[in-house]
Amino acid sequence: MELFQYVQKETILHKLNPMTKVIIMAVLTIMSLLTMDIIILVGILSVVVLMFIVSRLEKELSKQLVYLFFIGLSLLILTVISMGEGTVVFTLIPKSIPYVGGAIPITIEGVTFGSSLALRFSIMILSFQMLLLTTQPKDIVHIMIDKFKIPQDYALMFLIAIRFVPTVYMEAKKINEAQISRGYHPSGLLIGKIKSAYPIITPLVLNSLARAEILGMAIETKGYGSAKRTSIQNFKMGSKDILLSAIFIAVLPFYVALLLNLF
Amino acid sequence: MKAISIENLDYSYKNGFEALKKINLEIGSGEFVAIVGENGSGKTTLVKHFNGLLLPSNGKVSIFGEDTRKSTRTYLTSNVGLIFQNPDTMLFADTVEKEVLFGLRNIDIEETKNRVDKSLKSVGLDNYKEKFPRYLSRGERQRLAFACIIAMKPKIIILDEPTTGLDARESRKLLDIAEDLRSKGHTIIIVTHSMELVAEYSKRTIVMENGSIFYDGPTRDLLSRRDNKLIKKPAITELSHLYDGILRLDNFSVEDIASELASIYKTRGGI
Ligand SMILES: Nc1ncnc2c1ncn2[C@@H]1O[C@H](COP(=O)(O)OP(=O)(O)OP(=O)(O)O)[C@@H](O)[C@H]1O
Ligand SMILES: [Mg+2]
Repeated sequence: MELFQYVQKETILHKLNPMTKVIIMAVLTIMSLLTMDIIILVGILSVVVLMFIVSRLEKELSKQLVYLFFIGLSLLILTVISMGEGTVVFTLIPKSIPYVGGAIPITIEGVTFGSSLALRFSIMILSFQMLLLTTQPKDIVHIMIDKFKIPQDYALMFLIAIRFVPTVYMEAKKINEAQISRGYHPSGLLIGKIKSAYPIITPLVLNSLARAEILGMAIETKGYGSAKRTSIQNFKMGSKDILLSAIFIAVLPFYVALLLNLF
Repeated sequence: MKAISIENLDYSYKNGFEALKKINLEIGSGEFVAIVGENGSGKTTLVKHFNGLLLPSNGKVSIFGEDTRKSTRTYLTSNVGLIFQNPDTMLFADTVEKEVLFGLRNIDIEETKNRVDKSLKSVGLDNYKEKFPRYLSRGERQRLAFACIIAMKPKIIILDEPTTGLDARESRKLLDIAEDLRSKGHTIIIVTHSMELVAEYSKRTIVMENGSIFYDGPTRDLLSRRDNKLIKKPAITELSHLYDGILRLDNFSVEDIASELASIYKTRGGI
């Protein structure tokens, strides 16, 4: 399960200062939030995809795209169905049917709005993924504490959460196998499914709590929180970092001007 | 008919790793078989094929003549019981009794009361029915996991490293229960790293190495093979080999033997 996990590669993006990547991510996110224009959004998405290719994470990207596609599609469908105002292309229920005919109109505005939402969503998720995939979790934590002044307890929480995604996933898989070996077969409709998740969720939560307790003790025996922390590593902005950050930050005002039709 | 028969089994994980290569194997009804081998040699991957948790990439696995690819889940679960190393991956109910009931309900068994009582008695937990499973000791939890499977009366029972984390007495208890089941006609397969237990309980041993079967035959023959560095022999076998080697030296004195033994003990960390 590679979701959220750092992938070791030797590429420019991996070597960049984490701060630079945070800046790139922030700029791309702001840019996508400022516009609804599909063409521009597609352009921004291509930049993000390009970054995945530059950092040789095509495999990880293709895995993500499957999920994003489905989430995006449901976003689109929901928006299209719920937006009745605008230029009607056709109605989902044909006009010829009495009483309900003409209900659920599909509008051009609905489709464009839904597509922009889906694109924005993909841009944000992917650029955040980009940061996580190319940066070691401990470096992200460094940035959180040193640059963003996030209290170290919260930064640690974030680090542990990310670190334990695959562990919990593996555990869930083992539990599932153990229960299947006892004939466990989740069935029924939604409610039945939720109820029958009990034999999986209970051991998962209990085992995770047990693990958390051990981890807590381990952290304390190593003196966590007993003294002021000092950094071993000091992240310097290299020339590539400065250049890239500058480019992305500089692009922003032009972008805004372009959107406002100031040219 | 063989309880388990495997023809040319290959298995690769999704990431392309070939975990099993050309496995051929037959296990008869009522056998007690041990599977040993280094970490990562494919033991768990192999036993997961016995109850259909994994299906072969190539080749065929049959349980009492039925191809696992074509069998139903219920058929496999009622014929093959698999108990994993860590009992905590399966314990979820609020009482020991309900824990055992879970499996029975899953395969639609009606006469539950009798089966729950019997299986708990067979693992020595008959007084624990109302206890919360998670509060039992490690050994008791492992035996409860065993009881959950026993209650379902599978003809084949597989224990994947059941004695990890258990003391010698608990380990022996567990294997005594297994041996008792074997004497009643069940087929027992145990995956373990403990050669002492293998030597004591199983007549046949399968040694896995890098996804293949390296040895399959009588446990006695395996233990008497001197060249075999894969297997940590029970201390007594090892000692007799060492002693044998020293005695065959041309000139030796009692001091020689003593110092030889002492140095061997030091390097191997004793018995
Ligand atoms: N889900 C998986 N995906 C990819 N490779 C796996 C997976 N599970 C196991 N492997 C690999 O397959 C090989 C065999 O694993 P397996 O668990 O069968 O070994 P084992 O003999 O049971 O080892 P152990 O004594 O440590 O339990 C190992 O190299 C392991 O890394
Ligand atoms: Mg194993």
